[in-house]
Amino acid sequence: MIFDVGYLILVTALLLAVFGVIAGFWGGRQRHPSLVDSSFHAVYAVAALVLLAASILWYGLLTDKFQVNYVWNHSEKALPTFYKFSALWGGQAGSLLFWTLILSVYSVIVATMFRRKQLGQMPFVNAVLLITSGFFLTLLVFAENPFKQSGFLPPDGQGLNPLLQNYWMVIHPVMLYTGYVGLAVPFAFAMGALFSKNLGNQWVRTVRRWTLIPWVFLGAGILMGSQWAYMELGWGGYWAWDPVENASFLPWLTATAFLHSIIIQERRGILKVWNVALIACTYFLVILGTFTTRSGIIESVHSFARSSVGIYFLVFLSISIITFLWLLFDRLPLLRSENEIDSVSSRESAFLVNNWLFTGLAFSTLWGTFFPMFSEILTGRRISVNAPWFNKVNGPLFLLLLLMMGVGPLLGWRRTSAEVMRKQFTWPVLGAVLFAGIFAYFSPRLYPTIGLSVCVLVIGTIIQEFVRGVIARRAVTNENPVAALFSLTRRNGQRYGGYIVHLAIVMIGVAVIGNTFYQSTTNVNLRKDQSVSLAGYTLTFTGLESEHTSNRTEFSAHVAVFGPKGQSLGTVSPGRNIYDKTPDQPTSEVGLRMSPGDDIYVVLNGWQDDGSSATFTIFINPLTVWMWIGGIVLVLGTLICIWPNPARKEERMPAQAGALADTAA
Amino acid sequence: MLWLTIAIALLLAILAIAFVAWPLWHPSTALRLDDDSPLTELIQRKDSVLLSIKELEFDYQTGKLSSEDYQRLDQRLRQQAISLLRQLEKVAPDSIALEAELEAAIRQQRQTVGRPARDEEPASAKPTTPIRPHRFCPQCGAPTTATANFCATCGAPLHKADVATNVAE
Repeated sequence: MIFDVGYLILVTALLLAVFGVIAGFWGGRQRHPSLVDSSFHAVYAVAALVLLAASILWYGLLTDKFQVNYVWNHSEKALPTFYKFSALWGGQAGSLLFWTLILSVYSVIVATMFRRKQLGQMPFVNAVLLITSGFFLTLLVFAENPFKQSGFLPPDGQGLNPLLQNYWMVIHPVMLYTGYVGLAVPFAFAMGALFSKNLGNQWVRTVRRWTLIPWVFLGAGILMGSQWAYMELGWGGYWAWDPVENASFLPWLTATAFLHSIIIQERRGILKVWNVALIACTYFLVILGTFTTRSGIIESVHSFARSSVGIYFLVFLSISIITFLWLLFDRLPLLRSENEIDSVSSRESAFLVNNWLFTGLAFSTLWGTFFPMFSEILTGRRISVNAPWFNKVNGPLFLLLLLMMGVGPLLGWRRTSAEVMRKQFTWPVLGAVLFAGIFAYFSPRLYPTIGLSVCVLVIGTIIQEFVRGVIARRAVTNENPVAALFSLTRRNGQRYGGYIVHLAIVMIGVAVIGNTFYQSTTNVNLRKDQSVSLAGYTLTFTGLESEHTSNRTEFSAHVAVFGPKGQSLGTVSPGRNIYDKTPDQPTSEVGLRMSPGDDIYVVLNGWQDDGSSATFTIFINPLTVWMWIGGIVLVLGTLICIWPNPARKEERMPAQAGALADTAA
Repeated sequence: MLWLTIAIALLLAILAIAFVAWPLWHPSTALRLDDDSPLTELIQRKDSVLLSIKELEFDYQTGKLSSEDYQRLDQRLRQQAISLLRQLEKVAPDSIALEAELEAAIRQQRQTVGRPARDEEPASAKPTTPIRPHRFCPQCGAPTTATANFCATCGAPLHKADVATNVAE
């Protein structure tokens, strides 16, 4: 019974969302306070109902109500409670509900924070967010009812996909969704600005933080997904340009471009159309990405089932793109630039190049992702585009992007004279050239030398920026260097937090270069106590054991690792889990020894039942750990960026503006 | 059982709908829908220009600009700021009081961020003290507080005699 109520709750939420959209648009246009107020109430009510619906599904999952198809398909009695909880986003209908829930939470936060501010555009913001919620509620009500029941009570469920029974797999989708869905908020503000014709720089200022928050969640989610692929899939890598990986990466690329280009709009009043278009593209890519993941039109390791929701997505996407374009063209006269770019050697032109590169990357990734589908439609043959193609096309673009990361911060706004250029570039370039010479001597390979030298250039730039900032600050305040560094970062969070994010990207770049060019691998069958050598390490198979836990049997091999001088480096234990419900889908548990220099990565492929011999795939992955460290630094840097500036009490400004409006009226 | 389901669902629906419809019959909370006036935009543009001046100065101090470029651009930005302040004065004459208050806040910030201390007036002008706005700097035209000895924008010394000619209205 409760599940029927759950479904009716979703229907009510959909109706209220539709009403809220109308109230928002109508109230916003007519400046009708009651309707606007009602649109706020609609946001709250929809969120409460969606939360209630999600709680009912959670209740079903946690109490094994297998008469509900979703519970039966994605859970089982023996599933650990933790995974029962996470099964909410383990399947199609549940993850759509979870999407809606996260969007509702964002909408409520936005509505609460802007309950008394920016009321010219807020009704439209509410309406746009409710349209998105309404679309997902439509899917839940008409196409993917998570509360559908079978009419009888099966004794046990099918179990959760074994690949998803992993610690990272529980957090990764949450992070990714939080990032993904959150990008609807800056889009809603952009649309709010377009609808209300408040197309100054206000919306851009408002959305900076609202973009950074989902952006960092998305980045962290992508990295966690990489970590999951690295730990769980056991093919030695972390990124395969899989369509679903690309689906999450695409909006990240455009959102990163947007974060950079809004800085130029804020400072120089240019690129207004570009910014609106960029955040709209980000939103469309989010919807498109959800569509690719959900519809099964593109084959992927993330096989979440094929279903009928595809057509809904296509219709929604087409309507929103057409509406956006119509609105954009209608408002073009209001989006004129206030300035022009004065010189090529200026920070704004560096930002512009960065934007082209990000857009180029997004375009090539999009093309590669959808090419198999296009080729099938046009020629009837599915031509797949694989990782080497992406690496070949995107690799150089990423390298240029890294280079811009080193160059951009050294340029001043508007124009940089030759003399200043010399002063700014001498040390970082010198450092990079010196490094290139030394590195090429030891490892004479062109691409890694170029790549790593550019990384050194960027690091040099960042260090120089911090050092000069500290010197400039000390000249005024006479603080000790550490205090100066601290207050500099604290007071110019946007700039220095940004540099720390750059540092994180360099770390990730270093890991990518190490893995792309210096990975070694071998496939071996080892008898007990037999050894194999790879890249200076010696690995000895010492034995195999198995253990049965609640819903699976865990087999693990023990492999002793010795360094180049024969010193013992401990043991790694690669394993396989065979699940009771799905014995034909064993999952791999990688045996991993991480160090700053390289990872020893061992996969157990097969074994003799008596444990006398086993086959392994062994990888030595250089510098991989820097990718995960980079991820942590990325989050820290972003936190510095979004931390409120102690000196610029931003909250005061709008309050005063309101007061001024009163006095003016 | 069916009736109970319908009853519960209906109850929830009615509650939710009543909550959403409530403001339509009880427009008690008077929402101000006009804070997107041109004034807000002007103030924000002015803030953005002031921020640019601060950033330009910091860029200069960290060696990203030659001194000619710095002076030229600084001059241009200050002119922009002045013209925005004049526009603001036209739109809302009373707002200049608040402007001066904002200026004081920004000045305090600049003191800590990077402007040489000698260009500043002592931090005696607390934003909470009542400020008479009708004084302008003879050099750059920025509004100043009645008690200021130096202009917060350009640092020029303010003598009572000079300022007298600049009294507004």
